[in-house]
Amino acid sequence: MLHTLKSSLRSASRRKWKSIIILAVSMVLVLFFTMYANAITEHIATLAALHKSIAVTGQITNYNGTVTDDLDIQKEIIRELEASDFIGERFYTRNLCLLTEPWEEPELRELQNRLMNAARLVGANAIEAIPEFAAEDAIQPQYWEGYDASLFTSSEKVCILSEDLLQSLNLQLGDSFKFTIAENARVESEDHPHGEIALQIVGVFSGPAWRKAYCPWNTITAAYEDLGIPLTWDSARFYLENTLKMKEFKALLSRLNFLSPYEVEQDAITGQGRLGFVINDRILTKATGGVKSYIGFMTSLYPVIYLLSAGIGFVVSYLLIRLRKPEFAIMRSLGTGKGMSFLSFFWEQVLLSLLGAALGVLLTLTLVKTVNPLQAFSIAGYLVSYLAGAALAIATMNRMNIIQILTAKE
Amino acid sequence: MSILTLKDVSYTYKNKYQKVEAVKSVSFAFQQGKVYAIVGKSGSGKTTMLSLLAGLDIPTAGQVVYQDTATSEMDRDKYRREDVAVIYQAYNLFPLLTALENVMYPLELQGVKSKEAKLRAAEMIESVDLGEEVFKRFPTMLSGGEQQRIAIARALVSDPKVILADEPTGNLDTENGANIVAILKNLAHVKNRCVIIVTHDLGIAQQADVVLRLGDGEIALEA
Repeated sequence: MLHTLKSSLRSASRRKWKSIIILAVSMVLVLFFTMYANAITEHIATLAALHKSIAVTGQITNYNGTVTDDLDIQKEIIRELEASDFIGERFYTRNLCLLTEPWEEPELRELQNRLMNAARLVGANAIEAIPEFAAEDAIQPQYWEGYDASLFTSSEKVCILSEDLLQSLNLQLGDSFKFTIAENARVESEDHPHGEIALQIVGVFSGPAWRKAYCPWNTITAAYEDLGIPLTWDSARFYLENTLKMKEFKALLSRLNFLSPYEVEQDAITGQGRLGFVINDRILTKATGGVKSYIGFMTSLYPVIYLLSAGIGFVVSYLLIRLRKPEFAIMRSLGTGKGMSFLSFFWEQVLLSLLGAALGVLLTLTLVKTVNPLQAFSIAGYLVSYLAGAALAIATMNRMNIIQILTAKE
Repeated sequence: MSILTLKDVSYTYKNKYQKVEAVKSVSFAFQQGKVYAIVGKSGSGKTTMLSLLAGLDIPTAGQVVYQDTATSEMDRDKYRREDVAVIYQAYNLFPLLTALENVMYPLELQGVKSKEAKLRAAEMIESVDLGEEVFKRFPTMLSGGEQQRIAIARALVSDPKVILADEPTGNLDTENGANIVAILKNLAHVKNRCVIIVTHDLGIAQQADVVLRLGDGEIALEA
């Protein structure tokens, strides 16, 4: 083995221009492969930048995507989503029935009617969580002095009221009022969970959400706990992160038993009772479509260019080695085994293509000044395919008639 | 005592158009200490015979036996490394190795260390009447006679018992040719090697101890 390596090294160094041909071919191919990998890497970076800069939102809906609040989302689902790597900023609401009159132990039927027609007290963790105010052109609430939209992140017992409620109660901004609250659920008995809450009115808004009051998230959560009812969410919207790994996120949604509303017909019955999850990634999809196609196309060409590289390895080696048939025949005649003879020629190809590859890498570094894993992968792939082609060319030498070559008269 | 024996050896191959019987049921025993000449016209089977004796091929029928072992049953690479050497008309030296490196090659193949191989190769080159000045020359820098001497030195350096020579003087002038024949005869008669020369040159054949004529794949002993 050492002998063949030594003689290969000696042969490569003495073969001059023939060795330079292999060096040059290897260098040019490495340059091509690194440039090719670089083009893909740059597009991958562009794709990552687009994913970072274009916001993708997600929203829990009913099974067919037509309802986005009053969803009764269980705590476990929210916790699992929050624990994943895909949830960025989040917007939640939950609500209770809001009555302006005292409870006074009504009979069941009357209670059912009263709660069905009751106003709603909605807790939100941010103004953006409230669909009426989230749109850019939405009419925003008027706040009492010292208050603004940041009140939703506080734990104060304050609320903003719809104009109709404010007028019907004959209240003004800054007034406090003791409301009756009750669980917003199907009424099964007269013992329906209920209580009282005193809220200061610190804002007012007009349409379209009539008969509603909005309070901070912490305030309504405390009210839920006071009433002893389980925490559920009415609505949940998110800014999604790691959108490059959307497949994994979709797998998580599937595991959490979410439906994709786009796959459910609007009037379908199947799936009712399950929740849906809508991902708003249309802008991102549109913006990244071209880049993804380019990356996909370039990546899919790898097998073809590796095959070409193997072909070049075969042709270059075959043409050069064909001239060296006598050498191969002499080796065999002197008792060098087939394997050793093959190795002697193969090592030479390995040494020269490695040296050419190293020069190619240096040239690439000078030209593009970047090194990335895809380049390394591409060069490794090139070397394997090129040497496979070269090995095939050398192997054809074993089929020649040794004695005919050796006895050819000059 | 015979060292290399042909036992009812036949060799048949198929070319594009027909089946060719290059050697037909040949039997003969070669002995150490003698020079043999195998003569014959082109196409008489000389090259096939050389290939079979050198262990580069095996007979399609019969056996070539070297010291009790058939070449078809032995490690023929080892046989060519240690027991038999071939000298060709075209010298067949490695073009990118110096004269010294060419002679060192068989020793390195046997695993002899570089320093010792160098010493033995140098001695062998000197034994074929070439001086130190040729050591570092590449084959293209040597005359035909010098190249053939280097080829002989390379053939002898691993101390083989059988030496095959294919038209060894074919590319040489009369004087150099005579010198090479003298070296070969000396190898047989003084150093007790079995020397087999394949040739169509009757002048060389006359200097052999035994002449074998090959015709249409069959061998005949000449007086």
